[in-house]
Amino acid sequence: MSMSIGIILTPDERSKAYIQKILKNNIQLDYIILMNDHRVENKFSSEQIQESLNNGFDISISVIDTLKDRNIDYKEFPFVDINHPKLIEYLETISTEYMIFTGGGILQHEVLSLGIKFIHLHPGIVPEYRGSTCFYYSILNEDKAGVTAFIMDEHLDTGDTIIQKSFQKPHYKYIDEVYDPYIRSETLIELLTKKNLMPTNFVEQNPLEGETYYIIHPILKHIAILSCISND
Amino acid sequence: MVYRYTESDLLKFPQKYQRTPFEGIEFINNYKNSRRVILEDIKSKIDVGEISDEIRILSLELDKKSEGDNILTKEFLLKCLSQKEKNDEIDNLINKLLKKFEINKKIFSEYDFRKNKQSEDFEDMQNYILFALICTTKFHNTKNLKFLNTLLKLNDIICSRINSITTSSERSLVFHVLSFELSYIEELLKMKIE
Repeated sequence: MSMSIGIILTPDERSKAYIQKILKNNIQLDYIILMNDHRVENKFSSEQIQESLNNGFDISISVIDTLKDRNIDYKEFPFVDINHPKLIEYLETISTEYMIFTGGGILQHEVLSLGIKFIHLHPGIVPEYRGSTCFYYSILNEDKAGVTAFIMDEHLDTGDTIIQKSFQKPHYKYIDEVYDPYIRSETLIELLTKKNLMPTNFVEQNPLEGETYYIIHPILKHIAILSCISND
Repeated sequence: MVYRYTESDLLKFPQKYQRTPFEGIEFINNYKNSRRVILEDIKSKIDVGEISDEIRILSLELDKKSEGDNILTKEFLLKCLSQKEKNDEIDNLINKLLKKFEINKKIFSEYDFRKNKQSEDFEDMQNYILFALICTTKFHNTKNLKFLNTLLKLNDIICSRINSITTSSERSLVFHVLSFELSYIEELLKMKIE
């Protein structure tokens, strides 16, 4: 029995990497949803664009342009909110087992009760690195970063884990713009291509174990980035 | 270039620190200079007292006690600072307070963690100074960057309101928390970059 899987995209760097790599790897998805609040998209320098190309995606191409250029069918909503009633209404009408969600945060009861398993790619090896901007903390602590793919639950980063993948720290400074989307998208492709979506292989987390980090202070962020580029 | 994270009153205009730009080593140098200016100013105006003496003075000044499930923040922070042995219950409350602070960048005078409620007053700078002192101790003992991260944010608030911190005890403690923070950052820089 083949499983059904979809993705919810948002207009940001992470979604750009996800959709471009999914298409590059000829991965078929059953549903593509774009939450598009029509924000002013970030502008990138040629150096940032080149670094993204070195990492397998083009940061300068918007999600919507990628979808349109490839004639991909997608459903668009004019907001970015996973708990929005209009999105829930739509999700109730489709039949999918898994939905990859490019954003983070906490799903409310209404979304969780739809019966869809939402997959999040969290940029930290849990339970050691839960919370926000974990890749910076991991780079400072261990000179590397990691990603955990898990099934989202009602708490922060505590759902059953699917796979975990470690990455060496980068030798460039564009961590938010390139490295974060890169490590998450690489993990996503591994998840989708190596038949990892087997509930029997999912690992339950103990929410009481581990550490939760909060958004990194710019001083620690600078030290983390400088540690990446200082050996160049 | 200035260290912009202490330029405005951070209790009036809280800083979220979301996707802050990378500005190179110059940013770190500006931060260090900004902290040093305050340290030198304090040292030029008062005789900086020992931490334990200043804590004792603040404890004696405490005129209100916790009631029921309500935690009087200052009383709790002073109790934490006098605690010598590891205490899981206190550690748990420190983590809860840290989480609350990280969410809204304020420390309220009273909390009821069971009902997830807090008082409305968040301008008592002693609470920020005492919690910063706790974060220095926690980071010193555990090397957990979570505490250094919160310490930096608390000290940003303290520096952004330095003119409202007037007593000798408070300013002595500010001197200590800023000195500790700078030494931890210097150590981390040495370890990761130099």
